[in-house]
Amino acid sequence: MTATILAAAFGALVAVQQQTDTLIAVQPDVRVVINNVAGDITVRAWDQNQVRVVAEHGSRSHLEIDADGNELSIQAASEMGVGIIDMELTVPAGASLEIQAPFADISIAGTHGSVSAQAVEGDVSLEGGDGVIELQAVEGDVSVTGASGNVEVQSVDGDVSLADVSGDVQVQTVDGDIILLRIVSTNVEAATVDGDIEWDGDIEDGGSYSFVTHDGDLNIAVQQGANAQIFVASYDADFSTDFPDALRELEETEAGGAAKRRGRRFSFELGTGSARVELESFDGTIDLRRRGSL
Amino acid sequence: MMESNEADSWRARLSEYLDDELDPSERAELETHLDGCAECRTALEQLRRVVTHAARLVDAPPAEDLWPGIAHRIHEGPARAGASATARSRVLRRRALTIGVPQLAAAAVLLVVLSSGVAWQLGRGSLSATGPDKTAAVALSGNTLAVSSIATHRYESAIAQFERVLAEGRDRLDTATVRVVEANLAIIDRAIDEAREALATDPSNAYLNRHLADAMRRKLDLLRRTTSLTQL
Amino acid sequence: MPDEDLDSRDAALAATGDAQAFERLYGRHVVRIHSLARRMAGSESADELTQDAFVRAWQKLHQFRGEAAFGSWLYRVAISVILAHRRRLAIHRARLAPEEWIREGTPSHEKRSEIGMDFEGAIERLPDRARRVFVLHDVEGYKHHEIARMMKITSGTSKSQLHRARMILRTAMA
Repeated sequence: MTATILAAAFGALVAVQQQTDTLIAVQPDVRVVINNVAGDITVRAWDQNQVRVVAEHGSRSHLEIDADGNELSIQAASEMGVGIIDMELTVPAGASLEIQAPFADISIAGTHGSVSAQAVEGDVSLEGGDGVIELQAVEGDVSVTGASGNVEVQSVDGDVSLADVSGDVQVQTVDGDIILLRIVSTNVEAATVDGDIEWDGDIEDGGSYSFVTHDGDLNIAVQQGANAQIFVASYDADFSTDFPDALRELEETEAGGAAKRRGRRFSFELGTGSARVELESFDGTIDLRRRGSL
Repeated sequence: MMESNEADSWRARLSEYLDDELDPSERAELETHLDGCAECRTALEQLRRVVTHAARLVDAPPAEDLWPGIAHRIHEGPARAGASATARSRVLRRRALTIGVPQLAAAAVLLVVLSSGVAWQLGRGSLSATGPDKTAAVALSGNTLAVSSIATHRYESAIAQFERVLAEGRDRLDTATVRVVEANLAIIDRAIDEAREALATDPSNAYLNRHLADAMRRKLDLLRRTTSLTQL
Repeated sequence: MPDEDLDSRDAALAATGDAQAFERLYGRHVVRIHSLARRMAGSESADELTQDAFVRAWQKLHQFRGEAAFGSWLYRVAISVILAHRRRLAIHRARLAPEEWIREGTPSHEKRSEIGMDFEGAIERLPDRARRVFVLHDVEGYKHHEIARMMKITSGTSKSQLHRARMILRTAMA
């Protein structure tokens, strides 16, 4: 595998001033590792077995591009302070990506391989991706659309949104909302401390879904025929639902029971109760409704 | 001099006096002080006028009708935060220019130190093994509470160590990242406090026990995650 | 029909998507919400925040269950929108140079009575946190523990910020 990389820059160090625009021949499943400090990173895909790197930077900054085996490493370097390097990469669609850039927005679209991206201050957005997807930010929003595989997203001060994602999903933030739309998954965990969580998607039989916030609302919309055991826990949250079965069950279990419960834990079953759904808000509202209803 | 200090310290409590939030003994002491301190009496009178005035403020309508803008937006459907996120990211980028290597390095070094401290604690206390198990906790049982209180204790000691080092190294750090982390630690602290207060009124509530342990675990997670990110 | 009953009826209609009912709610509450936004966040942001608050309320109407008065519920929605905005703005301001800060913070006033205007202007010039606590406590009548919860501060901080605000404002009353 390593011998087949066709690269002029094979094992070599390339230092470029002002502007870099270079092509490196690679395998279709090349692993691209990018290290930048500040500046934006944009990655797009094409159907060629080459990586194109276009970068804008000052005269004191340069890129170090290093190919080793099936791995292509692109590193921003600067003689003084932190150089700002904006990078645009075009990679084979099958490439996997590992990106670390503390002060950068990272935008990736069209790749099929695994993706690992870490920013400290900056937004991370991903369209596509397949396999292990790990995205992290401290202060920034993270968005993922159309990914499949095992998706793990962590932010601290920022919102996280996932749409049209399939596979296991694990999302955490501290001060931010979490929006999960049209997720096809049997394993979902979403947790925030100060923020709302919105889920609009199907609950699969046998699946496990956990939505946890401290100070925020849960707005959970699932399909009419969902089969799930619903566990609700709160301290000072109102629970409401428009599932007739759930209402009936709640009314039966407690005199005067209705669609609203405050400060307590309870569970009920929808359909066969096959999946497990945990809804927890310490202090907010929990709303479980049939999709399409308001 | 002493009198002036005394006046200062009482003046700082005048709002509490006005709002009837002092306990009876403090109230009596302050009233004694007021008898002999014209400055504080004037201040009190002025504060009273502020409070009265605030309660009588008259609301004013907006200069123009805001309904058309609202109508337009509610007919468009749920708003998305796209535009403001873009603006925010531009601001982020601009600020990145002002961050130098020394600050980054300082942050990274400190956080490595911090994380090794926590790792030591984790290793010794096998914290991960005692982390609250959701499945176990949902079934209300005495065991859950016991697990939770052990976990809480371990978290507390790990967190305390982390916070000590952070406090010591704080003045060497001036990165926005650390500020953001601190602000978010404060949010988690608030969650921890609220869970504790709730537990005080309902100590056997399994959800609250687990929720408290979860909040503490989240705090540790945040500290650890910051560490790995700042080593970039 | 008393306003509260009108509100309940219109809130129920609006929750089904009736925008005209929502417009009537807007008409009955915009003055209070706009005044709150202006005092909490300043004249410059008041229009935008008022609109944000009503849009947010529209989106959340299905969660309004009618146990509290609609006006109180709307108020809480508005406060959370305004406080969230303040958090974002604080982050934004931290990134601007001090001179940009000052430009941003210049308030503009609408017509108000003389003393009212001075006093409202003085409120707008208070430091951010002290202003928010003051408006919530002395103008709106919230308790310290409620303010602490909304602003994610301690009750002690709420008390000290209130005192700070009043001490600054007493000079505007002189």
